[in-house]
Amino acid sequence: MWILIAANSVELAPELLARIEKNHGKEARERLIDWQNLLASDAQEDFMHLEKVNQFFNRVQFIDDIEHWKKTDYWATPIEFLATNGGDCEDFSIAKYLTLIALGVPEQKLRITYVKALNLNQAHMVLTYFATPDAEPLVLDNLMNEIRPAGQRTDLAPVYSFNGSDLWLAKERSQGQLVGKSDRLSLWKDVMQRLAKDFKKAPFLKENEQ
Amino acid sequence: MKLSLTRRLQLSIALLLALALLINLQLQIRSTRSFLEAQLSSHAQDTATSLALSLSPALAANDEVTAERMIAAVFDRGYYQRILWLDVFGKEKRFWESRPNPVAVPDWFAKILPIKAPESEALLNAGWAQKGSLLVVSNIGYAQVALWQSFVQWLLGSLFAFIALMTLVVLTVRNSLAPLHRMADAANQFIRQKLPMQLPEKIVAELEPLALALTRMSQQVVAQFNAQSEQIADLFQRLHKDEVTQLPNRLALLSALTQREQKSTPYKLIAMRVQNLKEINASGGFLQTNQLLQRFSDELLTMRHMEWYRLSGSEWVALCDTATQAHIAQHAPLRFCVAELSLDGSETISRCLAQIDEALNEAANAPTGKVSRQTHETLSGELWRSHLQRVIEHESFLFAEAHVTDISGELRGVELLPRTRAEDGLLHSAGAIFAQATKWHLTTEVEHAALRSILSCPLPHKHIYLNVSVNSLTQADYFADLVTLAKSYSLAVEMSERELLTHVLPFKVLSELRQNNIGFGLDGVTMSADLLKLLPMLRPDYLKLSLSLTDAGPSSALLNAVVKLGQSLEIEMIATLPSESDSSAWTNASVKGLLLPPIEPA
Repeated sequence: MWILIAANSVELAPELLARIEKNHGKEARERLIDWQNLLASDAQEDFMHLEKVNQFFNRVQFIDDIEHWKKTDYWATPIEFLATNGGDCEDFSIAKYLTLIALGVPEQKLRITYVKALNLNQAHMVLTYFATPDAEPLVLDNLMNEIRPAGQRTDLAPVYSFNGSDLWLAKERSQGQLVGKSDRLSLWKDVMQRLAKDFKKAPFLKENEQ
Repeated sequence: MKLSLTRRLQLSIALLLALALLINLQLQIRSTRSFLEAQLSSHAQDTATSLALSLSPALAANDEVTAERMIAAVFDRGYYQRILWLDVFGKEKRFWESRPNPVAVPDWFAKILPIKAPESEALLNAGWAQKGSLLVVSNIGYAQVALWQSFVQWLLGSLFAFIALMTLVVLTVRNSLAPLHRMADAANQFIRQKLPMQLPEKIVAELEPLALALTRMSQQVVAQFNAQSEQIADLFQRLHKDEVTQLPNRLALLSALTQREQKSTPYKLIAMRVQNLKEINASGGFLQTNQLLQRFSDELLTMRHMEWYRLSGSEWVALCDTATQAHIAQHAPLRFCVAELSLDGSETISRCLAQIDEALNEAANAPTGKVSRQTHETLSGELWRSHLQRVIEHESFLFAEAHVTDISGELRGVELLPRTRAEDGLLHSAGAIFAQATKWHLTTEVEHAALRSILSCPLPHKHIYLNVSVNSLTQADYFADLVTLAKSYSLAVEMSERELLTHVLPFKVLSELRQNNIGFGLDGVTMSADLLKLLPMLRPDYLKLSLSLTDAGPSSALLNAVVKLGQSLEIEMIATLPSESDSSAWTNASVKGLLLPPIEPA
């Protein structure tokens, strides 16, 4: 669904950076600049993207929604996530997912997986990568920086996997962001249009309809 | 076809309403359809996700049979059009499908408003492994039925709303335009001059200028009429007086005789002819003669209960009751003969004048210089009553025709004059019949019987004039028969000037005559002052002028003034010609009116 058109020409909107700096401080602005630079990376193999993205986002602090946003189950955008320097497992997973898509990793290779963290006895969410449809997936997780195959993650019990964009759309709808649209394409256009406002240049936001 | 303003407004509003309701119907149905499609999508997604979650244990155990059974169990509930089970590579593993064909929904409706059943997908997992995906499409049948039912309800609702709203619209438009209609009616009446112009009391602001204009126009017409009436009255005064004796002249006598004819009661005429006027003129001169005649006329005026008229240079006539006895003293040097005529009131003016002439000729040759004549009743009173009752019962009338032509000689209409045949074969004239009918209070019955006689035999003419009384016109069954006659002929009813002035003609009757396309006119018109007052209100279609107005010929100033008055009020003038008159003089005259040749009996 997404193709990388010009990897070196990603630029966040100056107004956004100014606003973020004003509301959250200089460090927040720098985090976003770092993310901008990440998005402008040269084309590489998928695994290298996985590593970079996983490392990049795992620096952000883990904070519960109720503590961070004073709401339950709030799914932040990557910009909100980085600006506020905090989020929960969904925020980590979504931010990684959207960044990898922007970097050109095929959507069908990525899944958002609901798991149970056995050691913590908690509900958890991770991003999984399937090199091929029937391959064992790699797990991108905020509990550990290392990306391991799923079989080696005995601390996690998988429950169910979703297509990332479907999940994101469902969340947008439930948060009242998407009203009146019925087909998936229209909904996705809506989401991208809102994200596009934060970018001065974002070639990866051009759709390639299959 | 010309549409009235009311109808245009109603149709325009009806069209707009219909359009609004149709658009509303369409929007509602589309909205319902969108809702139903969203419901289908949501339903399909929920099912896909729930089913995919449920299948995870079976897939983890590689138990595809159980997985298949679980999907089949869900599909067989009947809510799904299609469920596809795809493997990780997107290849079809299993396929369930049903064809939605709701018989409750017409095909045309399903074609115009198809419902799309969105496809929903859920991933199949077994632990970490991907096992493929499920595609679920909900059955649109239920949605189509719901949409169709919704459409029918909305359509019926819209129809009821349209009918109810249109009823309101019709009433509202009618009420709102009522002031305009009232103004239009008043203006219409003014233009057609059929009824007195009465402006409505309630006028809206926008129509006030129009009302003002109509009022001024009406006042101008009345003022013009009044000026002409004054002129006529003045001319009447001047032209009805004998210059020498200042007694009423021949024209005045004709007017008086017209009224006597319309009254149909017996009266007496005393006629006098001076036999030696020539010699007196020769010996004394005209001046002396005139003075003598003045003194003589003054003496005549002292005779009570007698109305004296100077008929010609040597003839005088007095009108009086039958009981009056005339004793005319000698007035030397004048030598005159006297004729006394007792009339029953049924004679025409022409006949009266002829009888005066005959009686004076007889008196001139009589040794005493006096003669007395009496009109013989053709029948006694009781015999008349029986005769009238018989003709009423048998409707046995004959009709003489008086033709009304225009200046070019073209026939314009026919006046039907009733006649009855006595047992001896003699024909009774209309004057005699109605004189007796009045006496025996049978006028309405006689008129109605005459009307039924006309209805029973078809006539070759297109336009008919009919004499009526006020009493007959106010009788419902007589009026109904008139309306029936008016359907076959172009009909005009007329009454004498005297009849109109004696009885009150309700304006409602005039209105009903107009509504039924029946013309209205007056007969035996002398242009009395009382009639002149009524003319602007009545606005009859025509006036038949009596001999008193036409005897002086077509160049008479009085006649021309009367015709001019008629032109200003758009009333046609029909002139009754004197029997000895020259028709060609009238044909060549500039008087614009219709000619009525002398009436001849059938």
